[in-house]
Amino acid sequence: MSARADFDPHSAVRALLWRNRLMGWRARPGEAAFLGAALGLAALLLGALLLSQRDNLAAALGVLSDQGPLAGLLALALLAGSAHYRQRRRQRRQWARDWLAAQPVSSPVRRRRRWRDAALHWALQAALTGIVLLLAGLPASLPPALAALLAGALVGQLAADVERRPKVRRKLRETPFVQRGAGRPWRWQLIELSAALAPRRLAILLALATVLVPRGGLWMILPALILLMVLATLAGWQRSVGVIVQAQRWLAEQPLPARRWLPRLGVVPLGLLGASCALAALACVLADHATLAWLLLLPTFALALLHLACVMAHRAQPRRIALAMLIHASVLLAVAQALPPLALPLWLTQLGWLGRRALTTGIPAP
Amino acid sequence: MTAALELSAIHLRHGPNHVLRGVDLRLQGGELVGLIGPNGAGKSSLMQVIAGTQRRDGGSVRIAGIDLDADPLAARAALGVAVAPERLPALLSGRQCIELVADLRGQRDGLEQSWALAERLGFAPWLDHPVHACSLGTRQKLAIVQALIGRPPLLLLDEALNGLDPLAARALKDELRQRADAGSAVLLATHGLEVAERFLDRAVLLLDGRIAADWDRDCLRDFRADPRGGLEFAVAERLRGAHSS
Repeated sequence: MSARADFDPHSAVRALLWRNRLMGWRARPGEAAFLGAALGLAALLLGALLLSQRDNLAAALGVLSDQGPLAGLLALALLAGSAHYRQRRRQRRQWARDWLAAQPVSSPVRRRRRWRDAALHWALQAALTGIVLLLAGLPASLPPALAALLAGALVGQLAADVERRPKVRRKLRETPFVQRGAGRPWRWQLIELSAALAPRRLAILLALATVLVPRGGLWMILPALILLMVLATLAGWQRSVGVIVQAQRWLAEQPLPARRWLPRLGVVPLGLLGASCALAALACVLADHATLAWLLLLPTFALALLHLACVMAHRAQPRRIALAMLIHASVLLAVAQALPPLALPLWLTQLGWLGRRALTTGIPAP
Repeated sequence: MTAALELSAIHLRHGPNHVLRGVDLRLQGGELVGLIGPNGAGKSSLMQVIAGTQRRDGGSVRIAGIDLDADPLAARAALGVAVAPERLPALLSGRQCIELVADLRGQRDGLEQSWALAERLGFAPWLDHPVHACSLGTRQKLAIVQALIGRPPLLLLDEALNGLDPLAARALKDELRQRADAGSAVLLATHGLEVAERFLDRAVLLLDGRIAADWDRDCLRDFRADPRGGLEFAVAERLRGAHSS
């Protein structure tokens, strides 16, 4: 038996996946055109948003580069390092467990693939940073920013290589929210939420806040804390909403209509959303920025509810969730920009339609 | 004669739990060996240790005389593993998976044998369907065809007969017997004691991470004639003994 020492199966898998995707798009031109249009619309909206906020972005980044250039670079390096650390850990896990794990793939091939992926990851980060800095009119900040990204990427990649034995998962009864024998679905979400808010996951966010805080003023501390809260809330939101898809897989065959269990799984995400929005609104009002609260929280609340409705409606085919959300959000944002008075009725219609679909998926109510 | 598989003092721990406690096992070429045991005995962990996908805490693994740690590439090239069906790539077709693994193993010339095996297992009509469109049994067939690419001296099959229809199960048994006759060793983890009794040359009972019994071909033949239930009875006795102690 002789394995091909130069063959990179992971590249081959990627090439085949792209080939299959292209063939799928060719076979369904209508769907492909629709998806392309939706993606194009989303890109246009994002571009328009970035351009409209160009002055604010320039002002914020200008202050950061004037008053705390080192802190900004450190934060950038930390973000890049964290992203590379997670990417490398994910890659290692995948290589250790996927269908090719037991195949004879040579170490040089794995090393090449690893650094190619890291380089691609860095190039994407660099491109994004470059676009933001050029839009903000700060081309002079680009070289140090790229150097910070590179340093962070290298540290993240090397840190992920430090061997750590897999820890035994904490038993469920050790988590703060579990009581023995309590089989209510929202407890499941609370367990997921507690996992998302675990100290280990928050460490990187805290490190970011620490980097920014020593430079002084409230204006630096507040963004760090807001960033911390937003990212933690996002992680908690993803985990608690993810339970809906898992519950569908688990309960689909049970003789239960969706209305008996599905609405209960909306309680925790809605509670999290409500609490986060209330806290953010209170902070904005205390800081005398009531208008900002409306401007930020209203779209956030609307989009989050839309996301929850999309997850519930498409829980049986989770691959469709992202596309459904993209389409609904694009349509809503486009209407909100072009015909603002129609945005609220449209949003309510979308929620109603998705809600109806959610409750009629699976066994219908008697 | 070089053993197809040689395990020496394999230890594995998951946190405080000892999963494998010094497993020694030797398989010669041409042997069809069943690895049996209750749930949680460590069968799948042992298979993963042999495949090199599970880190072990002690002991050594030699495949066809090659040390897995010293030369993992050559050791893995001498090994055919049927992956769990849920690990197969959902968006590739069966044909793409088989061709890719054949490319990787330098066995492109032997693809005709793989297509013929796919035909015998009843997998041929599904070759060009994406994996996600296949049933569990059909994916199991794909995993088996992939494991049997080329002529590896050692085959590892974990519950490979699960989910197969009777015709495919028969075809797989015939194929494994042919491979064994040609000199390959097969280690099949299974809960099917009847399969172990009637089809295999040897059955190894794994209990609490240790080899509790190793029955050879003569023992298995005696079991077949035993009116008390043969291998099933013997395994049950060992389990009761283990629980009472």
